[in-house]
Amino acid sequence: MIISANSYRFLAILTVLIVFGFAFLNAPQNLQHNIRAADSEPVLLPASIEQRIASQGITEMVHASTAVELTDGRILAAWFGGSREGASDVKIYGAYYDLQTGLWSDNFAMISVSSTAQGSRRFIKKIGNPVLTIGPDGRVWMVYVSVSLGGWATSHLNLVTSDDFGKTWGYPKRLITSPFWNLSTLVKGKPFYYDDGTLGIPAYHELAGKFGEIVRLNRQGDVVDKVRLNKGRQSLQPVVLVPANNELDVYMRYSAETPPHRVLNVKSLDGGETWSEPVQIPVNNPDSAIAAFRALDRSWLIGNDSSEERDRLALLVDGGSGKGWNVVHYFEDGSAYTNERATESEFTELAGKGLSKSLLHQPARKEALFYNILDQASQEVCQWGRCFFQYDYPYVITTDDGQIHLFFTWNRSAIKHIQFTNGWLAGLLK
Amino acid sequence: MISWLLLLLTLWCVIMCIMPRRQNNNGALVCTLIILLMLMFIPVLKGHSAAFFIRGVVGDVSILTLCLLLAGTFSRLGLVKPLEEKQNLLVLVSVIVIGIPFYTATLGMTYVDPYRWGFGSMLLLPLFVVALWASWVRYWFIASVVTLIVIVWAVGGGLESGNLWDYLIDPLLLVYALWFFLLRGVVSFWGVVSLVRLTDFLTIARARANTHAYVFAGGMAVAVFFAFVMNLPV
Repeated sequence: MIISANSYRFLAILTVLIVFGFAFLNAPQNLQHNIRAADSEPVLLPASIEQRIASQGITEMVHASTAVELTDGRILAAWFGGSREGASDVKIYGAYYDLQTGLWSDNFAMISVSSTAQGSRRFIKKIGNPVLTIGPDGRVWMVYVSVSLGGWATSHLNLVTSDDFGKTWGYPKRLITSPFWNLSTLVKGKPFYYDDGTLGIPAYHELAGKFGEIVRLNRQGDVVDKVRLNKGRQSLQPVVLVPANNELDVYMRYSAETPPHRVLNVKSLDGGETWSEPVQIPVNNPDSAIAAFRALDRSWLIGNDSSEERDRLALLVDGGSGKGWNVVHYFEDGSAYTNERATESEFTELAGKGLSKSLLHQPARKEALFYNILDQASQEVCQWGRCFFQYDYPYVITTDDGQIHLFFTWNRSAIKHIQFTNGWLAGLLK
Repeated sequence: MISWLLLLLTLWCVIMCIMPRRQNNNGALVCTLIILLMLMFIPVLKGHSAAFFIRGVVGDVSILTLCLLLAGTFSRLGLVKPLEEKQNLLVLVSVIVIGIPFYTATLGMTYVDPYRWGFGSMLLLPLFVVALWASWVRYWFIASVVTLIVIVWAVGGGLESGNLWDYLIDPLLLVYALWFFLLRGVVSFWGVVSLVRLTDFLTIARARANTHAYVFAGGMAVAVFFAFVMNLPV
């Protein structure tokens, strides 16, 4: 039988119709952009604020802490640590905080460069920022940054999950978030949920452009959407607040050279489908990460309210109705030594006092760690007899009991944990 | 596992396409496979194999790149006719016309992020039109590749990515397309300089065919250079 050229043509068209029909039917459905705001706090807790140290001085350097409340009444915190940032010996460490006893567990390594390389079956040069959350499947999820070649700007994201509250982790799954060899997606901000059960991960891009994004993951951990928050070369590390249903308020680190160095803000009124132009709010930002949370029906920011240094960590509250932002408290303040650096003895005295306070709740740990952490801190932040103070990379979570937990890097050498109540915040507003 | 098999296939095709035509016999085929297996399994640096590094840097190639490589490889093995010049040019021009604005936009130059379209069904409609048109004008390579891309994406078992763009295009393909036209320009220019008659299409076509093999090598060299530049401390 001779098949005419036209028959081939119509056979091809029929195949195209069948394949594309199948593809259209199987294509992911349009995602809904609905987000519910958290319920208002039911009670005002008694005013209290306590500070602790979550890390144990296992590594010279620690950075980029994250935390999540587990279903068994503990907090799991994680951070990366090693001989220096970007070194091949850097691992992601974890520790548990018991909300009842107020004690931190011993630190333990969770993820390493080699476990990431073996698990993803590719070369990995270094690992970085982790972000913890309870996944849509109820397990503990960790999204973290890894780099195969180059600096942090060429990072990729990995997703690992744990069935046993973070003690052990499965193989990392590489999240493909960029078409350019999957380069340059990093995480820092706290994840949030859409109404349909998908997870929004605040992320950012810093190769060529510097801008915020939201990467959306489904129950299986597949990337189902990625929304760009802005363009250009000026913003990093978005943190997301949901002040009202479908209303998103995002604050970002300002990373451009040109002044003024202020926190950037973008808003969405349709659940994150479209975004406003970025505006600078009247809060200084020295190209450093910020954290944000909602309490007492207000938005709160934690960050370095200076245009150059990371030597003080401020708590700011939104006055509402365009009244601007007010600093209501400094968690740490080494700004007296911004211009004239502290001598080593001044540093040891000042930092030692703060450290001593933070270790009060675990006397045994104080005995073991005080000099170790202080020594590591001075090695990290002192040079030629002069020292600076550095308190950065804040991360905030609110636990079910209504307490707010702040984690940040203390002088590059410890992860500090400050826990406070909405009652304490209310006192600051008086 | 699929990702590793795709890498094996890709590397094999690249080597087959780069190798001079006279070497294309069964012996060469076996040799390339042995070399590839060595590349895949023998640790060359810090206990890692070359494939480990390649996967670390470039990840999966797109289905379009793989199909072009397969077409090149099979034609070199004499199993199929070489890809028709018109279709080849059309594909490579499209890669440049789409790729340059696409990568520029995805790197943050615009508010619009075209990569987002690949997560849903938005790209399917233009691809459907292309596949229908290619079938109508009997550009079988384009019609079948576009259809294959869509079916692999819809089934969801192919690449690590779930984004249709990653099945359609990749930076290596764009680098190759740019390199191809750059070299073609050089060949044409050299042809004029050496007073080769432009009407002698066959001579130029042969020159192109010979250079075609080295286009891959050049493209790979550019990619490797780029990778090393990126490796500088930031």
